[in-house]
Amino acid sequence: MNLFERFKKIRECGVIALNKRNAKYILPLNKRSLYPLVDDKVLTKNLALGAGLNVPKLYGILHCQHELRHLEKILDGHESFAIKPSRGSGGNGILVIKRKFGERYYKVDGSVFSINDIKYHCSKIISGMYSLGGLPDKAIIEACVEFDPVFSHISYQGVPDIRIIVFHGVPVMAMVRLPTKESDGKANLHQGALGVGVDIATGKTVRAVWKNEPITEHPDTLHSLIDFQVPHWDILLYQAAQCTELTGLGYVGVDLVLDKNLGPLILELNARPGLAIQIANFRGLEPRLEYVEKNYKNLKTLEERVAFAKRSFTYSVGTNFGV
Amino acid sequence: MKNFSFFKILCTLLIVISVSIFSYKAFVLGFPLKPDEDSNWWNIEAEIIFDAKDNATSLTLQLPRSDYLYDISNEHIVARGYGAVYNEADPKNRSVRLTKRRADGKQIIYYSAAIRQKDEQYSVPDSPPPQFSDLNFTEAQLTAADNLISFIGEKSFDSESFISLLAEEIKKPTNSNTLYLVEGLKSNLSKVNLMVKILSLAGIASDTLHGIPLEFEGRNLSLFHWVEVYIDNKWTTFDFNNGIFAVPENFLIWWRGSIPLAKGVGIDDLRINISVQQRIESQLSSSLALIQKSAPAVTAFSLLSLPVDTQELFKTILLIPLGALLLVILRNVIGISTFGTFMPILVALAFVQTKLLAGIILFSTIVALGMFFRLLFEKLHLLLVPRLAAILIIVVLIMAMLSIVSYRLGFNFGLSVAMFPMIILTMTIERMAIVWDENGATAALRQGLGSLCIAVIAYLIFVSSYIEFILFVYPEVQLIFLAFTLLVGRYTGYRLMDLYRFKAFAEGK
Repeated sequence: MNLFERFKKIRECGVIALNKRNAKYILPLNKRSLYPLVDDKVLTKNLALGAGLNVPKLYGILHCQHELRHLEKILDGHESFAIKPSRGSGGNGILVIKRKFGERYYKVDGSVFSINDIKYHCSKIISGMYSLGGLPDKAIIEACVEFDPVFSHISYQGVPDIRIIVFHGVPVMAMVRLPTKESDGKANLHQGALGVGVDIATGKTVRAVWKNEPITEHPDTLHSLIDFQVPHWDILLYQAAQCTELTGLGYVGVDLVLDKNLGPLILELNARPGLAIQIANFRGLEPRLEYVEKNYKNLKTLEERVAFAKRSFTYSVGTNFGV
Repeated sequence: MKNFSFFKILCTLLIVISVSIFSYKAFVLGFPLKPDEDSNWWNIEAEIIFDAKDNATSLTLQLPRSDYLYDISNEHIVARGYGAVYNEADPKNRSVRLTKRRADGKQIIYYSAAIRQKDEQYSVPDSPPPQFSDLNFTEAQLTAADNLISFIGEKSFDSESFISLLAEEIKKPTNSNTLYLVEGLKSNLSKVNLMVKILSLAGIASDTLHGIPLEFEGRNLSLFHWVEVYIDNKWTTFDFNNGIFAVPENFLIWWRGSIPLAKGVGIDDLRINISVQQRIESQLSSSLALIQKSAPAVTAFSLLSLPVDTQELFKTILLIPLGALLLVILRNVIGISTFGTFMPILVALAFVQTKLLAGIILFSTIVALGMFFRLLFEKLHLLLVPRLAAILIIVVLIMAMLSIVSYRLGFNFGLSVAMFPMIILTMTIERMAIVWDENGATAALRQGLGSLCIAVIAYLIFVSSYIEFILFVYPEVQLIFLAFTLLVGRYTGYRLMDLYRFKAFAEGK
């Protein structure tokens, strides 16, 4: 297949690539001044809490190096927790401790951390090692999500999360990101996690990709990845759809997790969500975005927007958007 | 969209303006479209070696000066620990006096300059002949000189033939008087000085010119000497080395008079090696000089009106937008990302100074060693800014070390190491280390090599004398670059790499 044919095929599928995402959607719709709301997880958390959305419980924030001495006090009484850079990106710099034994802390993969190792990790976060642009940062210590066991046979360690792209308040595409052995418990596709497309209408998984190739079983657990019902699907859609009002961003990626006890929690928001979600769904974003652009002005309420999304973006063949 | 049509008009306007100015200059005013390959640029270098005798040392070095014949730029004197005092006041010679309170052992001083020959003929001075000064002959020498004058006088029929025969006799003595006079005179300079003294004794006023021919490249070149003689109320020039009357052509007049090129106090065993190299550089053809006369307003407000060394600087600066456009295309049309957005351009500019091979070796060495130290620092648990500063210090030290090592090994890129953008290298090392940590060594090496490849591509564009020439003579071309950059800025289509990334859609699976 020559380059031109490839080009044409991909365009026919309505795939949006980086240039178009940036020039046509992010630059006009996401005001730069709103970025801090999503780039800084502390601000995002406060916003979400203010709107009555659920987020992982906050244990403490370290703002600067000399606050490191408070770390023991913050960690006191917590067996498991996650430490994140407030302004991190791509899942870098996140440390998840699953359990504590005596003075030793254990990561998900079983490796051992002392309190000093954790302090050094926090210090690296604060110095800006993982933050956007290398600016000084804050370290967030929050509850480690006890993820819903529904995902247990299709994920390998780590926390599986659900990414929903919301455009003008309408959820347009969704996927579940499942950690693999190779991704080291992280849910990032380019680090080797699985991307599993989810039908907006039903919340059922439809297709999975691993390292850019279609796949039907989880490479580590060998369980089928297709036709799996994501629980609390409607709540997930409602929570995601609210993020537009919450932040003012017209085009936003919402990352959610399912907690065993608390249900859907908002993990973070993204003003420049990735495009691999299209590969996971085997659907281009463009027809969906254009359809929303034509109709979103008539959708007054949150309920209308979610209903519109569920009505329009079904995966089954024969609809407007079944490519 | 209103916004969009405005954008289109803007880009079209930029291109139209640029093309119109370009066409007007090229086709109406007749600006050249191709660089003049017949270059008149030369690099000269003098290596002055001597032994200092553990006391105050001073060395006076004659320097060429810019005048109607030449433009001299990029002048450098490398003399470690020496103070330099320039003497520009003397109308005859320009010189520099290098002094050091205490110097011992072998000393090396370098002088280098870029010479541009202008399209002018050497014109003999119209000043009256100099006064005869004290000739410093001993009684015996005076007698010998008198005898020599009558010996030559008998053989010659006019002043010209007298001068030719005298020069011949001094170079290859046949007469015992000449043998006595030239005894102990080794250098051609001292023989020329002897000739001037004898001419003066014979009542012919004369002066001398010394320099090197700018015709061929070479090392250890010998100096050429000319004698200006005042015959029949006008000056003529005589080529002492070749023994003929001629006008110096393609010749750099380095200094005048009886003084030597370099003369020192408290030194021994002075040797001077002169080398000449042609600069392969695009030059504006002579047609430009004509335009300068016919359309002075156009040239007066162009880069061509700037001083030569500023022009040289702008030749480089004007390449940067082209490099930026190249990067924009690589990133947004092809889809290759590099360490640091503009790092490859700056590295490519450094390559222009160091030449490609040396540049790649230096760049790789600095980055590799820097990475090694960066990994060591990782173990020290340093904060971000101190860590960056520490890497910067290491980079500077590596550069210093490379200069010393390469100088000791006899490579001549010691000075050009300093051209590498240190801060950019530091950031490159830091980013590469982070990629190394997060995505593994392969990813880091791949991105590093990718950046290097782009730097090499940019270098290959930068060294093209044709591109440099066009950008310099037609700065309006920058508007086209701007227009294209704006256009790419609004390009919403796929990047080449997207075709690979979304190949699932192309292959339909």
